[in-house]
Amino acid sequence: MGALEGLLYGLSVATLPHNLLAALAGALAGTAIGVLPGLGPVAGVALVLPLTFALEPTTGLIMMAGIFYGSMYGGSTTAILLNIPGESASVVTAIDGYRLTRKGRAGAVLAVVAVGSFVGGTLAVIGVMLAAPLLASAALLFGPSEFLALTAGGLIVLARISGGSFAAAGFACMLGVLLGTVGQEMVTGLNRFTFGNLELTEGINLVPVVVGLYGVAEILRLAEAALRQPEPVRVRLRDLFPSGEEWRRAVPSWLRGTALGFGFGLIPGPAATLSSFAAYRVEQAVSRHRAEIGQGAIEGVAGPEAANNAAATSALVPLLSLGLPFTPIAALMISAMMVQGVQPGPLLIQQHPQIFWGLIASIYIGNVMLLVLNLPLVGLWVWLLRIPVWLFVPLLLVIACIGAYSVSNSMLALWVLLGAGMLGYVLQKLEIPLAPLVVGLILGPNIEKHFREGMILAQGDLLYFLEGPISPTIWALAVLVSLAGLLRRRRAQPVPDAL
Amino acid sequence: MPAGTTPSLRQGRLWLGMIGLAFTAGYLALALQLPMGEREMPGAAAFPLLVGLILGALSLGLVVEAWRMRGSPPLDLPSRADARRMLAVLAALLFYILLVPWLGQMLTATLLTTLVARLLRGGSWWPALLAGVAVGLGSQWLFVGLFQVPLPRGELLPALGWH
Amino acid sequence: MRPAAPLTRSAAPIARNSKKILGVTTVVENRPGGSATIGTGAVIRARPDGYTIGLGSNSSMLLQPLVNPGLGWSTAEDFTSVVKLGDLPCVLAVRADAPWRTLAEFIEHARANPRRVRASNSGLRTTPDLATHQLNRKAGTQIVSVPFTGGGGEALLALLGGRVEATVGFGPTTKGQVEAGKVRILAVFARERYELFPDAATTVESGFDVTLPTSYYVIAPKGLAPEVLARLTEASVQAVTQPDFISFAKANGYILNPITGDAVKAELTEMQAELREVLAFVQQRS
Repeated sequence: MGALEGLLYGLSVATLPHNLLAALAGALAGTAIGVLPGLGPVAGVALVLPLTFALEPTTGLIMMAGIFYGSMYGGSTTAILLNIPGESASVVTAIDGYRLTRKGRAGAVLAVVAVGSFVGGTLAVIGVMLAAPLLASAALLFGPSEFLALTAGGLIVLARISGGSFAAAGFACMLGVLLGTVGQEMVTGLNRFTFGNLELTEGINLVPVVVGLYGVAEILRLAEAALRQPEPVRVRLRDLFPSGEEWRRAVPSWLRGTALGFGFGLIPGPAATLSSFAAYRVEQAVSRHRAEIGQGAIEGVAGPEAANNAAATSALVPLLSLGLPFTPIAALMISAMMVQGVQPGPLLIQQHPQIFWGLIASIYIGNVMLLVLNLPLVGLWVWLLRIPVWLFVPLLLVIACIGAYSVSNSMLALWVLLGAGMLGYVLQKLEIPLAPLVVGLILGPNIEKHFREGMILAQGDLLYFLEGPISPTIWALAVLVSLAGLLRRRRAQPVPDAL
Repeated sequence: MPAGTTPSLRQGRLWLGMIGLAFTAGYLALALQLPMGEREMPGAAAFPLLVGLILGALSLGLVVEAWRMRGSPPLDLPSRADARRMLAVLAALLFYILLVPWLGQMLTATLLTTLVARLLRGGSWWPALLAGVAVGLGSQWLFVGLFQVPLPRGELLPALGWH
Repeated sequence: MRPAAPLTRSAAPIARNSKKILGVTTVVENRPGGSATIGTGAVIRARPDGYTIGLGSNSSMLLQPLVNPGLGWSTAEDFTSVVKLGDLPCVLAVRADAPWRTLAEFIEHARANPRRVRASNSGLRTTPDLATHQLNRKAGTQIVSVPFTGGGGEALLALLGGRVEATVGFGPTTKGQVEAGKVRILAVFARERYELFPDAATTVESGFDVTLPTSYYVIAPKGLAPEVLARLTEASVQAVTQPDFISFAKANGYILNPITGDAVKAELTEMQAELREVLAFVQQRS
């Protein structure tokens, strides 16, 4: 079966009424789950897993995919409106998205995100269709040394993602890395910095940290300014849609984000998160309006959102063609397939073309659904902003607590939420950027893991980390990009930046 | 707070750098107690030691940078009344965390919402209480009823025979 | 949620079945972390009223107390094991283009090249890692165990990418690659042939008595009243012999073995003795 033939076949499978219904139900539930912080994509897919046992394989997988994409989209909604990223991939979306909301452009941003996710998803589906068999082996090129180059190089490049001086951004970044070392370490299973607390062995979870740093800190600022709160920005109907200029500015960012996200998705790892951070960094470097990024520029939202959707789509290539789960979601999907008697692996496309192409097509359908679903919802979300502050603050507090707790059913997460909230408040007053802290917390454990795995694999030979064409190239790129950034900032007037 | 005594950004950064240094020292001391491992298999201490050293250097960097800062703007600190309100919300969050194991999510959410709403709104208690009950019941219905999220049930309601 | 432990998700079908049988709704609470000791500990420390039961593995129940003293339990005497669900055996796989056809040939090569043959697995002190050391101990080899922590996928990826000579993992992860002719199973760590790979020889028939599996059990706190335990045992056995649970378990590569009571306790005691031996061997090595 050729690629186009396959996709057409897949579309015929995915547009069967019950499959369309599954895609719609999944997208709806996913959006709801994503809007609630803490209930991220993994929790959402896990909730539906038992349901899929009763459905036929294609329908079940279509529903899971719908939930996954819906929750990715929902997560960015709260990031834009409330400065509370629903999951880690939307942390960067909050930077410019929330500033645009405060300028009264919330509706426009949400529309740009909905269309951008659609564009990213669509182009990625086409990419998968054209190149799936070729791309399948891309993951094989990556071993510990390449992963170390990618994650450590990524840390160096992304540390300055939201500005700030070298010391300020680096401090926040390494603080995040440090928090990531708490808990049972992965290689020998030793408990580090846990002070005998069993719940701490699990480590400091990303969700309460992100919700605390951004959400609780924002709640505290809202409470502080409660009486002097400016009238909620009046949003006219016309403002719900992006202006012509905003559309024009978004298009190149979507395309850049899509290309980047597509590439990241092929490499096993936290592709969606990493690609949205990287896309933001790229916009800072090449966008025509780069000076405005960080102050509320549409490019800072359009690029990352297209990227994480493209990455989530192309990540299916290693999942389906290698049959290897690199993320918890992938593990859940593989388990669901195996219960249905479908073995993911190199033979999937030949043995079960209806699953492979049906899933690819359903992702496309899911993207259309999300667009249809979310454009009308933009008005509703923006209306939420008009809840009075006295009700808004406690409501957000309760949601933040539930979100933090439900990630791992642990009381510890609530304490982490409180601590991160206070830290976020203080750091912001001191104009220390917060995004690098999140970058550090995400990448730190990966860096340690790949370093130690590499050392064991190479039996202590450090030169191993510079072998092959890929690692040295990534290292060289990372150094070049960060040097270029330093030089440019030296020439420009340094602008202290609080986010 | 009188304008003359508002701490500047420079002072704030100096303090942050110094706290960072002290914190890093403690962290390094703990990390040193972990096994170093060998070259073929680096132990649990290796990475934290590296992280601690870099964070220490960056904390020092913050201090130096702040030291050389000229004409630093004052910190954007809240007025006394604003700060009191902010701290009250923080305290409400703390009480939520302390009470939730006993009262359970539904009652604690009701209590927290009522108190914070009254604090921010002033005036009559009734709207605040109404909001509290709505948030308490609503969150219970949405998360526990609809999404089947196991939230803390607490000790009080089950002890009274409510499941 | 750890991708490495698919059976943790079997709690959901079990809960659904127990609803049918006991007439009560069971709430499944996932307590990840601490190598599953948090969840296991929560069950062991619960009031022994029969309302709190849990899913434990030989790793969280037997191995963790050996490497992490002070958890609050140390042997099978410290909790009630209601019923055993089954075993997930380890398999040793090499690339399809590797020169070794049998386990014996592979072992011979490993003996001739001490510390130069590497076998990846899904984490230090997981069953595949310990099975590798147990093989070293029984066969007199020095195969380097390379632990990856990405939930099994990365261990297999390292083999496919030619970064290690072999991998020790579980059947379901490996099956797709075997069917596609990319990797070859040299041995299943078991006494009898494995349904997933009926053509692969077992370690025992190849002359190496190494059979450490990952095993899962329904556990409860110590000191249940006899009638409560009886009712619970009956219900659990029913739950794990329902057709939908059996098909779920088989699809995920489990060898079902619903033994109860003293049989489970005897097996656990024996298994812990073996784990203790392997750990002593690893420690004396390093």
